[in-house]
Amino acid sequence: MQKKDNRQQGITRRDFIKGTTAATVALGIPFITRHADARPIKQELVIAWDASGTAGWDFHKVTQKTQERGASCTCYNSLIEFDRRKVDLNLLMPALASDWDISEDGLEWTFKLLEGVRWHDNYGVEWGELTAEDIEYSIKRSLSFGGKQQFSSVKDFKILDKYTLKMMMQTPQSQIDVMAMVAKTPQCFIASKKAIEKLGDDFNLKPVGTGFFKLDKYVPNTYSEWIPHERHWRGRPMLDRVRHMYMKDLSSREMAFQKGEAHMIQGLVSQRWYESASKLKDADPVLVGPGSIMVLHFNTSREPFKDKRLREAVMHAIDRETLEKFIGKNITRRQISPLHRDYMGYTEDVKRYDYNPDKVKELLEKAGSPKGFEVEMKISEIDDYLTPMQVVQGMLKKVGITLKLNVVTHSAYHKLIRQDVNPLVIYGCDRFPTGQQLLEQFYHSKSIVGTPKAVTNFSHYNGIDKELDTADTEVDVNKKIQLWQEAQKKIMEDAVAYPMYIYQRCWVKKKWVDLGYHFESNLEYSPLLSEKTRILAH
Amino acid sequence: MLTYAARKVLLILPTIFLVLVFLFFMLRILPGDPVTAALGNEASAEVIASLKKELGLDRPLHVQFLDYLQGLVKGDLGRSLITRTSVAGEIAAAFPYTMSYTVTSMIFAIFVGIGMGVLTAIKRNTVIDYLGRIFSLLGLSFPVFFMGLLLMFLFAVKLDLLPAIGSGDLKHLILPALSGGLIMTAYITRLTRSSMLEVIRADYIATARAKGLRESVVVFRHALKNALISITTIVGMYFGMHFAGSIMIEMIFARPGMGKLLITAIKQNDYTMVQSLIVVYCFIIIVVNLLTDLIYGLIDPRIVYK
Repeated sequence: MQKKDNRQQGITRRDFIKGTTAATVALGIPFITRHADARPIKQELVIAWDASGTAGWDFHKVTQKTQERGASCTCYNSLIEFDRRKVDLNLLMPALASDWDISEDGLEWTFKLLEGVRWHDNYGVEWGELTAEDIEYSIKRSLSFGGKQQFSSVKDFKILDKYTLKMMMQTPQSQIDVMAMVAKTPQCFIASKKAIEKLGDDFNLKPVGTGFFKLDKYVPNTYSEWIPHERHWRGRPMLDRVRHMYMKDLSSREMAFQKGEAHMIQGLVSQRWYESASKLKDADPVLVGPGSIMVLHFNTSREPFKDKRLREAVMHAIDRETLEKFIGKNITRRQISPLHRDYMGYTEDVKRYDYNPDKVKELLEKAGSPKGFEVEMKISEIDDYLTPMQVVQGMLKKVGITLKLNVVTHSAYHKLIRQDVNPLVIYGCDRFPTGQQLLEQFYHSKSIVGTPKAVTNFSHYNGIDKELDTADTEVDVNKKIQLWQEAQKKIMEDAVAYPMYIYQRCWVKKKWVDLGYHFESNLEYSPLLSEKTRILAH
Repeated sequence: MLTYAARKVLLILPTIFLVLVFLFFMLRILPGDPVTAALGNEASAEVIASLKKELGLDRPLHVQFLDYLQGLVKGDLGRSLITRTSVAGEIAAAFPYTMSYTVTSMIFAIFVGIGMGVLTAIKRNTVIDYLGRIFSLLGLSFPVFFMGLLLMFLFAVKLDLLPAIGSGDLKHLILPALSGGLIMTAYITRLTRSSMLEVIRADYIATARAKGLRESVVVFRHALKNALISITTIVGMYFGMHFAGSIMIEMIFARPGMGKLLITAIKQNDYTMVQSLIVVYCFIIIVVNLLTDLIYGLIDPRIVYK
């Protein structure tokens, strides 16, 4: 009876359970949803590099290749830095130097340092604060290793106080020269004097910098992990951890990306890869501009390219458009002058060597080789060099020029071209984005390979020494630009090098990795992290 | 047995010495050097000379060799010419990863391989035998890197069951061990099958059966035990090969290990690292071979060590 009464009132046990469950769910859903929304996103980023390991981060003693630069650019700072967004000399900004001053004669440079910049507190040591002594020490140390060229114009230093350093130059230097000196990574990074002296050789794998990430863990040839420098002067970075993985195998990198275990991966300099990468899960392909310039240098000191007409014949035999298309329309950019098109001082007002088979015939006849000629060269095994030379080989064959390619390992290629064995040298490079360094290293007589101060003048060219020497000591930037442009015109007029194209590195990142800025280009070959880089909700 | 083992151990020293002499001079003949690797291709001759001096590479080769040898005798493997870290420290850190991969995949291969080999032998010319043979043929045809990528694609990317890369915990060891293990399983299966088929036809097996022993006793206690000699030989041989061949697995699965250490050192012309790693590899292979020899005696008491 009782049961019946209850049913009449609509309060059976089943109804009660149903009601309370429904109420719990109804009340709980918004809570669960809100809770889920509020769940913090793991701010941990994994970057996979095309490398089997790292050589370390002692940037003075060890070349900072792409994989090292990715980390060292977040570990160290320089006095002045490029804006992360773009390689643009107008966007150079103060970093460790808050201000600088140039004497009227251009011989003295005074840098005022930011106060209160802390070194990474790492390896159980408080490394203290950045001082002018660290700057002097870093530059002097650089001078004893790879930075000899970069800091060659520095005569002496004078520490004015804890935060002020004066640099005395051997010759008058313009604003842009000093920028090239102190903003060009990696030699211009500043490291802690105290740390280098105390850690000795261990500093290489125990770097101490002022950048927004400090090293937390390094597993040889596998990965390095970096954590925030809590006392960074621009504030703590948004990422809690960054892992740089060294993964030589491309398929593994791609699968780790698909799986979500790697969030940014280095790809190939290949159009096909660039297109296929965009199809990966949550992919945002990135091209790293401004890219490196690929140039074919003619060895003018020996046959057959002693003869200018034969050099011109080769240049007219190359179909630039086909070459660019073959390498990839997205990853290449047009380049017709020996200086990179984005560098200060670039000019397009140079002699052009358009594809013209009739002109080739005419030149060959004039040079006394109407049926063409044969030339043999060593070439690197890596695709970046081998592929374009194979394309050129095909093009030359059409006009009767036989180019024999002997493939060697990449390291052997670099060794052999410096021993001056090749009549033709293909070389990809980038430099600080002004005319001086690039033109000097490739076309000044003091850089001719085989000489004591040799750098990379493979063509043995000596026709622009005067322009470059004058530009080097010129303090008026406009006059410098004029001289660099004159130099480019002469190089092309004398047909000592054929600028092939600019090629850009390819990367892919997850759409939900926000770099914190709109990335266009840098000189580091990879999209760099910033203090605002973060993982978005996904 | 002890005298035999002691003699074998003593033979390790001249073997390693000869390997070392060969390696030391070969490495220096090959193009490239650690200084160029460290400073890059564009370093000037002046800077290269200064670093060479700092690293002691400007000294005559025989002086460098004696110096290295002296260190080796004292147990000092030197410092890496590139990273400047202690070579012994780096090898010690990498060794457990390579060893854990090798041991896990070998254990998997031994158990599954012997199991499948026995099964296919006793079920000769049945569906089980055919399937087992197809499996081992596939295993023999697959290069380890392809097997690794295939398993990674299936279990990590598609099914999302296991991690693709890394080395944190046991989960990270499954795919690498399976990749190497499956290939090794194929070898062991084939060998066990053929050894078992040979033994099963022997008179003493017929006698055992005639005595009314259970089939499992006949197979495992009488047949398999006698087939184990050749299986042990192959397992011992492959253990060394597997250990040295871990390089592909370490590259694919982004695992730390000695293989990865070696390939990076070779690329960087890091002489001291390469020399020391090869010495360690040699030592391990010799020790494994010695253990294999000693195990023969345990399996077959008829074997006498002289």
